[in-house]
Amino acid sequence: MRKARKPRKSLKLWEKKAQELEKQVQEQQSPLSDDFQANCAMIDAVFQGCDDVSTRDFQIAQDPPRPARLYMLKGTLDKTIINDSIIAPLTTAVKARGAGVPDLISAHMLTEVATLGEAVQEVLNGQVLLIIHRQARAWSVNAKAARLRTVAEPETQKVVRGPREGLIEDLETNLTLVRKRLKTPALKIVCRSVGRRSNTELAVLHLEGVADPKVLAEVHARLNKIDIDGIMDSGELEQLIEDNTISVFPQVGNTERPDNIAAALLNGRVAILVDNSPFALIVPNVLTDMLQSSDDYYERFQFSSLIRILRYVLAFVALLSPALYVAITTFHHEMIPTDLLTNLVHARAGVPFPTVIEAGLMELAFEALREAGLRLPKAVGQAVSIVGALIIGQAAVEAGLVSPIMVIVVAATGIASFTIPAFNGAVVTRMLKFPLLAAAGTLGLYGISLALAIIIIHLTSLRSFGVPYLSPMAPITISDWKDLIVRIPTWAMYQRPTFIAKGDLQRQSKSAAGVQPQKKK
Amino acid sequence: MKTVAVLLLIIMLLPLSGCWDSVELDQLAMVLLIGVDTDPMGDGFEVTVHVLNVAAGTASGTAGGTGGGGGSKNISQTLTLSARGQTISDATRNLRGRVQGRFSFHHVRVVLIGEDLARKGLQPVLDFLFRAPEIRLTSYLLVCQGTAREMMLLAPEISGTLDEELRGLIEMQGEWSKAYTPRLLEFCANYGDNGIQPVAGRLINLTYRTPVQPDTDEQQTKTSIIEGLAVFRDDQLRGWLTGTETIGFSYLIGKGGAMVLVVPWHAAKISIELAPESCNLRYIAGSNPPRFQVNLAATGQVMDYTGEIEFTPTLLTELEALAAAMLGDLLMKTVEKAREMETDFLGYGSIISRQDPRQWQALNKKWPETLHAVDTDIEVKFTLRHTGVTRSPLTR
Repeated sequence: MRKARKPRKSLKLWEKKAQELEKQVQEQQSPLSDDFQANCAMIDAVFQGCDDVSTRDFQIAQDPPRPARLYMLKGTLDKTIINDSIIAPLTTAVKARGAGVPDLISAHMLTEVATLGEAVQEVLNGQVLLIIHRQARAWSVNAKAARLRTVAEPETQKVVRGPREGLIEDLETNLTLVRKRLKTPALKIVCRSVGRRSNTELAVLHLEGVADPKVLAEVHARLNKIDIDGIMDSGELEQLIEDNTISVFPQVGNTERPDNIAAALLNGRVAILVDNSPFALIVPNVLTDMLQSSDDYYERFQFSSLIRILRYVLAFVALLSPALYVAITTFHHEMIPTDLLTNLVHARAGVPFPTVIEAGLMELAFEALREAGLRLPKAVGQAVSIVGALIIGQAAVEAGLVSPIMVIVVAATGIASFTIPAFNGAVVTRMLKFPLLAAAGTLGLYGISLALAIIIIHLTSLRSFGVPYLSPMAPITISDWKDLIVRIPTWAMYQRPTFIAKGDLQRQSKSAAGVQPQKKK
Repeated sequence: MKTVAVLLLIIMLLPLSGCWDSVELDQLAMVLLIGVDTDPMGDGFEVTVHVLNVAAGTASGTAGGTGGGGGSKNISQTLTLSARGQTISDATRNLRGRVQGRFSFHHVRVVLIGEDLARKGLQPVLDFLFRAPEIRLTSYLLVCQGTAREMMLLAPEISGTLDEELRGLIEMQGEWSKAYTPRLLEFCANYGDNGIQPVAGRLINLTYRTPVQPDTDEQQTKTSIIEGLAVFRDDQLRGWLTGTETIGFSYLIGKGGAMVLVVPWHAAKISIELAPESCNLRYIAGSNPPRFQVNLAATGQVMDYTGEIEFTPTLLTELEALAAAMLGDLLMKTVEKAREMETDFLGYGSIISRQDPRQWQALNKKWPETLHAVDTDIEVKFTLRHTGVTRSPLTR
């Protein structure tokens, strides 16, 4: 009985807190009065216990002098802007009575704030809040100091050829990086915030006239429904807005590269940038997007096409090779050429485990090594992979615990999964190979076919913001295959992908492709 | 929640099947070569198999050892096992007692038949091989002179296993055309056709002397070679074709490869390597008794020459005519052999049935007894492509 009571008590506590919060919200919507002291008292009360909020009182040099106060966060501000552009002009020169605050302050961004809540939020956002005697409003001045990580090469999506810029944790900088690439008023950026307590800023980007308005409306509708206290990274946001939340397949793409975002926008996709996260979300995201890299467009088309075909093959290798090895060697050895089978038989002689157990153990060991290498510092991580992969593998084979062929299969699986450009795509193959392995171990090739059928049925049922996950393969749109398995030359890509873009589909006019080789007359 | 529970139950059911069909590779008794003889002790059959020795690979990577085991210190790649039984299946099942692991006949690529059994009739063997889903119909069929068991006790000379060696011999036989080995499917198809009699490869036991080391005594080595042809009448071995006759056979059925023709010429010898370009064996419509026309076109080149006369265009034309005539004689010998044996291994009957089905209906009943009445005209066109890198003979 006692145990049952406890949660009820905490529930009550939670309800009480919620009520308090409600009250606070109501208070925050109350407008600022023209009573300077009352305004200051209200804001002080809100910031009680927030020692990082500092204040500065001064008198505006007017006749009679008017008291004013600045609220700001310590450490986020540029001191010279505050001194030279806010305090100095207000305190030194005597100003005419009629002059408004915007005329006095020489900072580049100045907004008027009317309610208490807004005023508090502006301070928390890192603005300088100015409250003046006998004014029923406050001003927020932008005096942010650039205290950010510099724009660096993205860690996760490296390219051989292409820009080296990657997103950083600051939303404004990230927006600049995108805007730099699309200097058109058609690039619309809608800023909003998410998170009751974190108040995380995010920006929804789309290219007007190209992006599907339905997708855009869906994005906003889903963002509106979010009711969470805080979001630390775009990865959390992704899980809140995706279509099928329990599927292993990611229906929202992510990228660290501003050029990827710009290219996606040009294709009619919608991008969501979240403050404090260097990963932008891109919707809609289809299955084949996981096998495409921005390199594909920067390298010449022959090479890109070959590499892309290789990636498709390797994706299947990463997914299926342990399962196929187990199925064929234990159920269908008549399929193996005799000479190869002779080798396999000799290699497996004396291995104590059934093949499926052997494969499962080795795959688990490989995943463990990968995880270990990921979490450790770079230098140590390499040592782990060397010790793990080389020494343990060699020793296991020599001790007769695993067959050398199995080591090759596992290594091939690992390497193949590394070739998948999108990390969230590689993760899918890493997860799905285990159920496939189990299916292969119990029912052989028949089991693999069953499992693949289930996966394909699931894939066809998936949607990413209304776009079928297997498009352009199912439903089939042949015109979009130009950028699917092979990539046709850039000059021949006249159209945007029709399964994503709506409205202006023309990328370049056919007549303007003057750089094509001309026939000699 | 309920669906999840049901799904989980289904997933838990899957391993209950216990992987009944699965065989781990090291549990596999892989049969590489199968030989069938008549039972020397009774009425049935004796089946001899080569089973892959699983342990051989782990001990050392080198391929070595003998098929029969014993004598050699190396671990043999294969084990040779024999068992007797009333039928072929009975005999193969009687092997069970000698091998751990599950027998797999999927990888049999060569089937050997003992001479005694071949003379008695192959029908029981063919039925077993054709019926068993495990046997590939692309396996090669060889008839041994002697018993199959004896052949299978021979050690492979170059390859690790005997079947690999035999397969190598068979696959390269287009380089001399003195041997022809059909696949099982071809044999079975021809067995069911009255217009053509089946043939099989001929495996000969050979003993030769090799000095092991310069100072020691010579040692007798037994080996097997594939040369010639085993000719069947229905399922019974009728006789053998020699290597040269086999050249004629393979050329006439249009599956000939290269050959070397030695032409005596102006008191010297010239070897010509030739290969057929086209060979057309056709029935002359309406002829009764049937007449056949063979048109063979071949090209070749001079390989060696023991004389001292320099080749001139006129001499070369003469040489071409001579070689063409010799080639014609060679083909004619095979045709004569078929008539003599009254065995239609060249498929005259099926050619008539294709070109003139009505005529064939009349002939079918008396076929191949009426084969000796069949005439064949042979016309050979031979072109000498070049005389090697030199035109004049190498002289002092």
